[in-house]
Amino acid sequence: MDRREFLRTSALAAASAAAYRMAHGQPAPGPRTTPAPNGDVRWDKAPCRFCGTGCHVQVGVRNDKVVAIAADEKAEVNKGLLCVKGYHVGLALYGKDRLTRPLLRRNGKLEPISWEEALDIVAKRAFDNPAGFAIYGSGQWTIPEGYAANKLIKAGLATNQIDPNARLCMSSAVTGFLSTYGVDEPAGCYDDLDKADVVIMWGNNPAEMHPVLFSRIVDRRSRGEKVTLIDLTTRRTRTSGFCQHTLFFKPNSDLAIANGIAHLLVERGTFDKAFVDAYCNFRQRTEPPTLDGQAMTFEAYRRALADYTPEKVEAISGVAAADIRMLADLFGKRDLRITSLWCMGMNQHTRGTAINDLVHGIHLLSGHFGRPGDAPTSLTGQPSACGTVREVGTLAHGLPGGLVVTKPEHRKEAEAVWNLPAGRINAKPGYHTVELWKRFSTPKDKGGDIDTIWVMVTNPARSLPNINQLFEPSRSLPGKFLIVSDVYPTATAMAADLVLPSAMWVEKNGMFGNSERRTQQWFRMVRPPGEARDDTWQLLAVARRLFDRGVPGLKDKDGQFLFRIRDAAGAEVPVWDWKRYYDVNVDEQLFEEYRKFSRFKHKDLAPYSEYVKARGLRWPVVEQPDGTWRETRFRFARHDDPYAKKADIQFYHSVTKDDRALIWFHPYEPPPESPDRDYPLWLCTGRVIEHWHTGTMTMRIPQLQRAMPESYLEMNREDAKALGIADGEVVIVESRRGKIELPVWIDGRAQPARGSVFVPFFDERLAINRVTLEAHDPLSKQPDYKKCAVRVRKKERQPR
Amino acid sequence: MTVSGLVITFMDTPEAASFALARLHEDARLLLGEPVANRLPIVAETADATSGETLVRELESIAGIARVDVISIDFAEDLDGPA
Ligand code: SF4
Repeated sequence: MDRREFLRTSALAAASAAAYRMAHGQPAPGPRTTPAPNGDVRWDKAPCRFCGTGCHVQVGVRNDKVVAIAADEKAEVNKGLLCVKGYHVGLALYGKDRLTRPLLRRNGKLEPISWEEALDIVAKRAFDNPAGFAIYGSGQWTIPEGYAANKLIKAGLATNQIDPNARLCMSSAVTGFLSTYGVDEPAGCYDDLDKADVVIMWGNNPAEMHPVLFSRIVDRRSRGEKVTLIDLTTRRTRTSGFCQHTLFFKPNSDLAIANGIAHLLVERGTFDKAFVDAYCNFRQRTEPPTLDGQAMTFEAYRRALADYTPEKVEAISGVAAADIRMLADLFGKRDLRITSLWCMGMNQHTRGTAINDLVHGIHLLSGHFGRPGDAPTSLTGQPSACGTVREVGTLAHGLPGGLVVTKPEHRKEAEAVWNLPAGRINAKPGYHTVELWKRFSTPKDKGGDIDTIWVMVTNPARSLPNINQLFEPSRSLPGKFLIVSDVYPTATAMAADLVLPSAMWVEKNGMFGNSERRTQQWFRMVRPPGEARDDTWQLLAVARRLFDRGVPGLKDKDGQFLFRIRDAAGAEVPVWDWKRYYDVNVDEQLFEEYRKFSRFKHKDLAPYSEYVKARGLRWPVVEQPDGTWRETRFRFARHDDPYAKKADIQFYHSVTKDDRALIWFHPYEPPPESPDRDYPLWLCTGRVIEHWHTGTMTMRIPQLQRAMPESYLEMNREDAKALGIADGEVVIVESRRGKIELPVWIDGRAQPARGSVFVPFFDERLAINRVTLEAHDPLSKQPDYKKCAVRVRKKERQPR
Repeated sequence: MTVSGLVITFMDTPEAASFALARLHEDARLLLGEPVANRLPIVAETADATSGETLVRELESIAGIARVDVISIDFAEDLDGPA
């Protein structure tokens, strides 16, 4: 068979398998058709590099290059399908401007230097002022990368100055899970999408942001299954087009809607009294707010909700009273299975923790929890926001496995795993993202005590809110030093003092953890270009330099290097020397150490070798008497979760220590900034299907770049008419913080409601985060990118 | 040359589906597989990945086709070609 014939046969086999699965909802009988090895192209599995859905792809490699991508039909997540980004993921490696050498800014210009010199500079910054040295990481870090960075900062420097960009995308989901169940991450999984009768999307647009999951739901309808889709939204999106009900609400009023549903369930007596009596307590907030809150009785809860009649909710939210009743009717039916989905709409919210609590609360109150199809499920935007940030604990207060630095018993557990002397780990959390960058952009004598930030796998010069205040000032302040490890010359890299070229995706070994608690693994398949090197290696090489300089934190209590990697005979391998880095599987050794943390909060992980065999496994993964490892689909439910032993539902990390979850009451309150006379429009920001985050990878894939070449401002036709603005015209969008120019798109991909505009953030050249607001949730510290006040005006013609 | 595996989903009405199927049969760039209910696996061969994209959009616009899913893509020639 020649190469062309082989490709044709493979493509037809993959398409046939996918067609069968789409038509029948299950794999085709007979042998699997995932591409077979061929003398020309070698295939292996990897999770997609882009979103938190966590699809698996088959990667075809020839002559040290990725030459083909196929959907992986063995993968439960995507069942042989990919979205437009996924099938182009291989091309993300091959932009023409990959960073291939370390670069140091000298006299204003970035000039090539050696790795030795670059790493010495990083180590010296950490050595000279460890308290002012921070790492700013990412939900795109692999699990071993995040683990190494976390250990370097929390054990090695004992400062806790590390926070990831996932603070900006899912920390309100974390605080929502912690305050409701006492432990983070969804109880359900994607299997719920195959069983739900009703799927409610709370301010998210999965048709564009999690397209493969959305297809999975829509495919059920095309097979004749009845699935009701409800879109609760502030603008008409691609998702709206597939929904039986599209309910438009005013920005920030989702809390009133949730309270309105709860009010009707309670007043009509259609809540699930047996479920609530057996498994729930009621809670209200305190001042200042905490994750534990304060107990309230059912009667007090009922009184607090009394104000949220359907008519009152309609007045606040704009959603018709009849539709609030319709939602309450659905939740009041025990025979239906209801899944709620949400993502940034609920998380990027100054009341993010509160709205997360309320949606969990409706599911608990109505008993729509724990049966397949009955689940409140938050989705993540990054491929390892769950795996690397939430599970590895790379947030400024976190430790691996759900432990936190503020609890003495947790520090003790971590010190035991890391073999540290007692008291090594600092009890004070580091700065959360907004505070970290504020301090980096503030002169030292005015409280700006962070003087070095090492950015890895993210682009804060475009993704932070209000970059004019949080990022830009640092670039002209004396003594502030920005280090960036990345693969392309992003806006952040180009503003840095030192740039370290990184390996990406299948150029290195890796592990991710997706939105449904699924831990995934892949091997290096091709070599990185030029001198680009793995981020884990960069961290270990800096750690070794600090060890060599005698920094005490880099030694464990036996005086050994904190990152001791051994060969099969037990001898230490000098993996800080790049030539030796791949002598052993560093990922495996770091993961096996990290895995010890996973037992503390029943987030058990299997040995590395199990992930090599699987297309990911959902934790807790528990060893069976016969030596096999079993994943868990439905947490806290006795029918599936091996740790739920006492009752059908057991919240075994309950805040109240009685195996019960908390149903919270939080009132609706107006947002910190609303449209007014000077700034009369709401601004919402987000993504589009073709591009991922700030576009640093997808804008370098010609097919995706051409499909969506430039950012735009989406405007309601009536608003545009009132301002005399035509489709395609360039306007200035301006807030109290900054302004940018953008072309207007009317009746384009989505239609914002009157009085609001939308701008995607994928285009580095058109930085909408000059305009956004850094106001954040008091508990999660997650900023609100979804609503601030702006004005839009026509760009004045230049005088001739 | 780029080789892509696609799945066509036809509209529910049989007339529309057979119209679309006839159009697909006429297209020399396509190799058609065995239909499964209202799904048809196909292989598309185009000069490069960009013309592959254009082809997908063309297919989506044919009356009787509800959806086109891309299942696999080979872009070796795109990479091997001149930089
Ligand atoms: S849905 Fe997300 S993970 Fe799946 S192929 Fe698309 S970008 Fe990749």
